[in-house]
Amino acid sequence: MATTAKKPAVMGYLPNDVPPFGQMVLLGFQHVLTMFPATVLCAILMKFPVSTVLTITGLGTVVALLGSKFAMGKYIPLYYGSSFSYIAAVTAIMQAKGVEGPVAPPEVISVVTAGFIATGTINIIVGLIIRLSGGKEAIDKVLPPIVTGPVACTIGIGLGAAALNMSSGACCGVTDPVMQLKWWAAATVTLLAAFIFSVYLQGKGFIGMLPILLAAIFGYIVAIPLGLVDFSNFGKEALIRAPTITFPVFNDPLTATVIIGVGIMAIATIPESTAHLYQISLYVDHLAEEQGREKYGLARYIGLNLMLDGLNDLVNGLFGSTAGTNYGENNSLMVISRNYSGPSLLAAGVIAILLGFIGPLAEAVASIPTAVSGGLAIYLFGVIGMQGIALMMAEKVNLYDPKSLAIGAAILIIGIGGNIGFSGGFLPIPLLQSVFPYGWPAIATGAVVGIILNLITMAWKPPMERASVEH
Amino acid sequence: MQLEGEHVFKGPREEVYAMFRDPEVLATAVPGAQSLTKIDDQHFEGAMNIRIGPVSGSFSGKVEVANEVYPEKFTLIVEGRGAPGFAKGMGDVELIDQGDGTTLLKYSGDVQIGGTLASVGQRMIDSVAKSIIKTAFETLDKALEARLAAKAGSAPVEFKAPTEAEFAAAVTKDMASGLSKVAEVRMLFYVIPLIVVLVIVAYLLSH
Repeated sequence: MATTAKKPAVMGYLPNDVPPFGQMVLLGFQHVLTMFPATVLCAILMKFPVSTVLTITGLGTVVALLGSKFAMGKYIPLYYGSSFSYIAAVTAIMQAKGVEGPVAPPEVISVVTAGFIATGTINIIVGLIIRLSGGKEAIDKVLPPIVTGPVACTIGIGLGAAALNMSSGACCGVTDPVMQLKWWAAATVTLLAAFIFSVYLQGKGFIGMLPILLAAIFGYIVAIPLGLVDFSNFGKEALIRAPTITFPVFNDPLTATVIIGVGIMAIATIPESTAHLYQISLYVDHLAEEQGREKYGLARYIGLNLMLDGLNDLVNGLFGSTAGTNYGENNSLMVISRNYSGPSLLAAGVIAILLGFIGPLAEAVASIPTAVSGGLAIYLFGVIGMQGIALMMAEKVNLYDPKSLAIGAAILIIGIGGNIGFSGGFLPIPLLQSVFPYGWPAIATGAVVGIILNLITMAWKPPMERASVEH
Repeated sequence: MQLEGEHVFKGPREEVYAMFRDPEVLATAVPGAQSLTKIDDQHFEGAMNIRIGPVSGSFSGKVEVANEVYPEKFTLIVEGRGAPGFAKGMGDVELIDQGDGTTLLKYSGDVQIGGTLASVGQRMIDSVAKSIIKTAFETLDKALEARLAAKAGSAPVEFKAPTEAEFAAAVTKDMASGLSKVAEVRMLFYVIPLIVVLVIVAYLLSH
């Protein structure tokens, strides 16, 4: 672009860039704030100890990042928080075991985590199979941009209702109209702040890379007079606490059920993880181009990415935490802040580990009102969807041809409709109930339908393809 | 697949050129080649046995020498066909006199591979092709030394082409080092020991 020269230099970090220590802590903390609400919510819903989940997901992130650096000399910049995909399966096992109260006893957690070992192993094996079958060239046939783009859209937009539930208080049983208005006010102010900071602080140096952190602080301050910050929760946790570590067991009568029921959810996370990799690769290379530096081409490492995903699940399973996935909201954060630095994600992992050990620190982060997180979620979840659209634009997907329109349409409606409209995001399809006892996971079903439609057009060539309109 | 590279021969350019035009020498240089028969000055026919990892079998092939500019350059057109698949390639070879009695050979070409052979995977074929070329140059170095020695009338240098087994061993070694550069394979070197350590740590912490 001819106008680029007049603009201020692009401040941003590529995956292998190491920011100065102070910046790294702030950027890491911003990542932690971004993953925190979902990871803690997952832990609570699955009745896992929150401190363990924070520490071990942090450890899993560190292990995965170092793995990518070791294997290919470059970081794949992703944060691995705990995954929503496993909630239904885990909840069912907890019910079968008769768990009562907010946190399940260690002996039950050990049974559940055997399933996470299974899902991790499946991811690693699939990653190796993809490599052996020809890597990106082979995968591009099965998962072309017209499939991965809409899948990315469904992941983000499918979370739309969750973001609004958090903003309105509907998540948390708020029905009083005055209270509802206060929630909306805090959420709106936070969203507005995130918008202004991310748009107008660009080119103003390092501060421009902290829009979400600044918006969270701003929203927090505004929420205090609204009475949304609960100070009574401070001081309950010990200064230093030790997260409970539970080792998986494989000799329970339920083990086979757990391994199948939980392990199968790898189907849901594989297209998701691949879509995340494609998105982040696109944006990393865009920044590299802006800065006139060498591109990273991360999208080539699909097999490796799944192995990292699996490794992270194994770490979580071994130490008694919940299975993870790379977080779309952290991808959004990186896109908004142009900070793709692997070391800053390592810093985030270390901060998450510390959160598990230092009670007051976790209390401080946890005291961020849900409405403030909701305001941020509108932006962050939405950007996951926008990245899916960017992926299709960058790959010049022909949106004039009925073939592409049909594939995208099916993925979007099944994924988004299913995720928002049905409990837990499970489509009520009473088939294969031994594998999907709670229904078919909507995003994965949408992805598989898209993959099948695409394979049909490859096996049975359409007589013509509508030309794309060039501007 | 694009192939490109260079090699320095310790001998004058004319001698290197003559060696390349000698079917007997070429037959020894191509690993597993059993014979190379001259049809006319530009065309040769031959057979070779190859055993690479999961793929083995005999190939019959044709070699054509074209665009000859003595002693500077020529083009090799190779076509091989056999049970494991086919290979077709074209390569330009350039010989540059370096002025110190050595000759720099530069080659660049394009090879297409089909059939079962192609299914072993691009990266593996890449490392096998590089390995074949490397071995061929090593053999040609020795052949050139022998030819020069014979010409000078000094004691003959013993020249022996590598056997099929020696070649297979060299390829396997090169392939293993090629594989360890594949990110997913390196990842296994990270995952396996790490998991062992983590299992022990997690077990100890939980008991």
